[in-house]
Amino acid sequence: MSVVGDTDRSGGLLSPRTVARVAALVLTGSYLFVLYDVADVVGSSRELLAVVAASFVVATLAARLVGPRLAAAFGLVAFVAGNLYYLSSVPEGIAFVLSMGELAGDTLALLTGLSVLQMVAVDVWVLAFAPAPVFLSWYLVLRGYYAPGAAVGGLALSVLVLTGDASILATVVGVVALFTTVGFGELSARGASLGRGDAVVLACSLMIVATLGFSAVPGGAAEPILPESSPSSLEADTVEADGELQVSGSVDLSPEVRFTVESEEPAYWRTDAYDRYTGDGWVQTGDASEYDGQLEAPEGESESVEQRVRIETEARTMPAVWQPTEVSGVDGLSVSAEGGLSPAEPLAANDTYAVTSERLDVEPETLNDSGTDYPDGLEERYTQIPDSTPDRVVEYTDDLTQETETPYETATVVESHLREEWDYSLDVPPPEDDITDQFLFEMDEAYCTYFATAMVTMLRSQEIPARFVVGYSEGERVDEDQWVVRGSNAHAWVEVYFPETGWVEFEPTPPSDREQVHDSFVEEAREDADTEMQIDTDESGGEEWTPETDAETNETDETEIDPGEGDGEQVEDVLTPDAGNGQVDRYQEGEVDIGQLGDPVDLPDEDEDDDPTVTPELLGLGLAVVAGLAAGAHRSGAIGRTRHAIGIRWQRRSATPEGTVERAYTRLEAVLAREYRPRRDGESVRSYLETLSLVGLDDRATRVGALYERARYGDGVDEEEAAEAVSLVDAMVGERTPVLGRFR
Amino acid sequence: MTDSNPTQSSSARRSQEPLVAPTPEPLSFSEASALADRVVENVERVIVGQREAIEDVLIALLGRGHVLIEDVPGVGKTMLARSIARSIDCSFRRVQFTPDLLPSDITGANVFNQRTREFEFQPGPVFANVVLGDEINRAPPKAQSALLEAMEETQVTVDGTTHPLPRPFTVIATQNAVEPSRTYELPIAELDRFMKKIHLGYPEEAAEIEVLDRVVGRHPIEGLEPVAEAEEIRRARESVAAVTVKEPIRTYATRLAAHTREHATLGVSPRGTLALLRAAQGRALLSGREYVTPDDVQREARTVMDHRIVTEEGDDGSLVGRALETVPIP
Repeated sequence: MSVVGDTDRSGGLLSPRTVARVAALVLTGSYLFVLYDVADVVGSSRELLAVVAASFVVATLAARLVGPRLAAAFGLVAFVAGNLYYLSSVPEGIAFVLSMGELAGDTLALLTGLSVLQMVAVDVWVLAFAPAPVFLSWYLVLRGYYAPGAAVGGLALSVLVLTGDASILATVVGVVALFTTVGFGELSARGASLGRGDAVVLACSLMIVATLGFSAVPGGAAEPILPESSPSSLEADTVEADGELQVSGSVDLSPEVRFTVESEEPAYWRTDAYDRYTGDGWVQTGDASEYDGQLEAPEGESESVEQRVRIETEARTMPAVWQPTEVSGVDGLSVSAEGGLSPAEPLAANDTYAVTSERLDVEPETLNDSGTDYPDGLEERYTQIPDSTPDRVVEYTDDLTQETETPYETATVVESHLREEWDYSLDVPPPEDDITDQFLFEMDEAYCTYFATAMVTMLRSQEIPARFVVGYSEGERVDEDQWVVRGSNAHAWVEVYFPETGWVEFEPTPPSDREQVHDSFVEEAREDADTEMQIDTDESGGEEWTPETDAETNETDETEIDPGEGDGEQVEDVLTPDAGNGQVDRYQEGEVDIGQLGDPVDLPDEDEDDDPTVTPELLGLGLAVVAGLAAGAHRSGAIGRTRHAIGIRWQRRSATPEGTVERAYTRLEAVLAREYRPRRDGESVRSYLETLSLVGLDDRATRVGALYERARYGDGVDEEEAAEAVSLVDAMVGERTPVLGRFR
Repeated sequence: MTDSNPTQSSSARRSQEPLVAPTPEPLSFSEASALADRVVENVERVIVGQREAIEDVLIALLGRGHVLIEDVPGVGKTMLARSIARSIDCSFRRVQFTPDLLPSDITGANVFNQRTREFEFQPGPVFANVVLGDEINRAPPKAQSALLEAMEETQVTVDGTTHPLPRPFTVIATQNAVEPSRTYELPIAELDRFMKKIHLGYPEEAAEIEVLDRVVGRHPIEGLEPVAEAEEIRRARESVAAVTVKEPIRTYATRLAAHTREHATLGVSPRGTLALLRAAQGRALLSGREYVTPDDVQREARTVMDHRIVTEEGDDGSLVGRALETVPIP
């Protein structure tokens, strides 16, 4: 191989060159890992692997055959060609290229945290993006240009970091690998030994600790990797997720009132929907469009529903009954690709708007007969599931729906299966690889996000277009046509597409269980007089308005709840202040951990949360700290110095008084050497101390010197004199080293 | 030692007691130390401003060694030797080395006694406790070697008969540093037999005035009283030999000698190392210490080692100085 900038020709197994190359591979791996995750979600992971493998092969060959200029040109051409290919695949792609302003805006959006998963044709983009950096960086590293090679890899990684797709772990690994490549590459180029790499190890370790330990970057994926104590809220995880929805395990609920609705009939107040399932969350692709005064109505039979919404706390989303056709009262309205409404400026309290929606009113038979003749592109977009979705999820669904014949039957079977077989709980284990898989095979209870995700995934595995919808459930009915909706009403459900009808809502979450859990603590929160949060409007808080009944209702009674099931008793328990568990105190914090409300015996997870869990990240952090300390100690010689400093300060016991005196003197000499000067080779102890006494050394040193002389050259000393020497030296050392850490 | 036939000394003070006794009892350390101090102080009453030299000579005396004083004439070499001899109440003889000096002029000779019709040994000037060999480099090597043999063996052999010398026996030889053309330079092997070679140097101005003050009129040496018996000196020698020399000191002396051997044509011999340790023992005694410290060794190193070294450029004493600076003290 024609190695150009590399003088390390030993090429041993553990030479700096090997380390640099391995680090370069790790760096490449770090961004390929991120790209693979993306490709996996959109189903192009095999193609990506093929493209990457080809890039490596070409780079290896090119490193042997082609000069750097030609290789750089080749890499550039590959990059440009890849991007052109991508743009041509985007609808109206070429026109898009021509409008450079939009391109710039789009790029800016991507680089400020918009996930690449939100790109519609991200499957193509991944394949277009990957080859150039892989080829160039590996080529350069093989040619011995470590720094440029690492820079190319770092550039690729930083793009993914800026889009927020690279996880903390991938970023840290990538950056550390980058510096290791450069550092050891430099060592290799200078022909240095591996042991000189301690500075590189030290620097990398500091980087890891700094990034993992303290995160200063707000938002995006930049959250400290250390275990978090407070759970997220369900509302933040659904309604407030902006284009990207992450499932975060246990959640809290906020009892605060968000808005009130005047409507002819109760409905789910939808805010938005998501089309792309990533395995651990949801992403909305496509661009929002401006509201132009009229929205499309569903194809199927529908009835109009008029709503007036009054905002109670600042809102960025506009809940509406599906499917809205007309909105008034808000300027600068935009409509997301999935039909969610959002204002240009956040809505303030008491802002109102009116929505006219067309609510589907189709017979099951109609849906059953609607067939599978989906519009172009819709099926592909809404039946996407990650390549890595475990087979057992598909098999499970196959088994469950083997008797069904139409998509509608499948949807209803899946819906009722989920409602019947799983219980509702906000307290769940943290999410693992695939949420659907975890939900189906490892969990007995979960909350709406899990139910809805599972249902969408299961339907998609049967090639039925479905999407994940977020919004609010009806809320508390305070009058015949009025509902009060709180943060605790945040909800997620499912919409399934039927040809010639449109998107039809499905509810896989067991409703009665859910409402019981949600409503019960709103009552709890009301009892806490100190809360500063708005829990009730003027209308709510009294007896709930119930149609067609004069019967007295108790505080927790709901129309959907069957009082005969005995659930009320449990709620009664919870409402009693003496019930313990400290709920009352918890309300003062404004958010309620629902998990505390039920029977403690049913909540084993609660205890697990208190256990310090050793995650791989923590372990890596620990290893990095250890490696850094070791390298730092190696670098600075601190081990020897520490031992030296400790030796000065604390004297080990010696077998003989002579040995004791000699050690005491050695300690003394060590501090004197620091304060004045070291004793010269041919200088006797006596003349050394005499010289120093001329410049201020006191008689105690002379005394110790005399004892040392006698111990070493004379007839010895007794225990008492040895103790005297030690105490004299202790005193002098103590005066001279007020702080132990005073290393020179 | 073969002294079954103790011989009577024919020194100025004829003594009935045997000159060579079996190994005497050592003085206690404090007695020996006090004795040395007394002698030094006593000699100082005559010799002004030469305490170093007095101590050097006394150390040689107590360490069973001899001293070579190299200096210009008239700085008190002879007076120093006489003062010490007088202070310790022992016999003193002086031999003026001249080009025509014969060995028998030093050792003595068998002389035919007319009355007894027998040859009788007539002891030479070497039969004294303190012998001053003045201007030793003026005599031819044969005469020199007679003295040097006596120094080494502490005995004299004349016509096949060995005559032991009195104890203590110390030679203080002087060597004229001027007029090198008309001298017989001592061979290095013979220089090795002197424990120390010292320089007196001219006295400082104040000291010289003091000397003149004292000497004008009655010379103070006339009134100098002995402060020690010869026997006490012999016992003090045993005390010096008993001064502790621990292992690090022996190592140090050996390393110093080794250093000179590595850096010179001829370095310090093992005899020189031994002499160094003995001198250091004497120095320790004079310092009132029962053990030798590295400082004692360092202090004696120049006077003991300088004259034993031959360097190509001619040694100016800097080699020992460098050895003292560079050899680490164990």
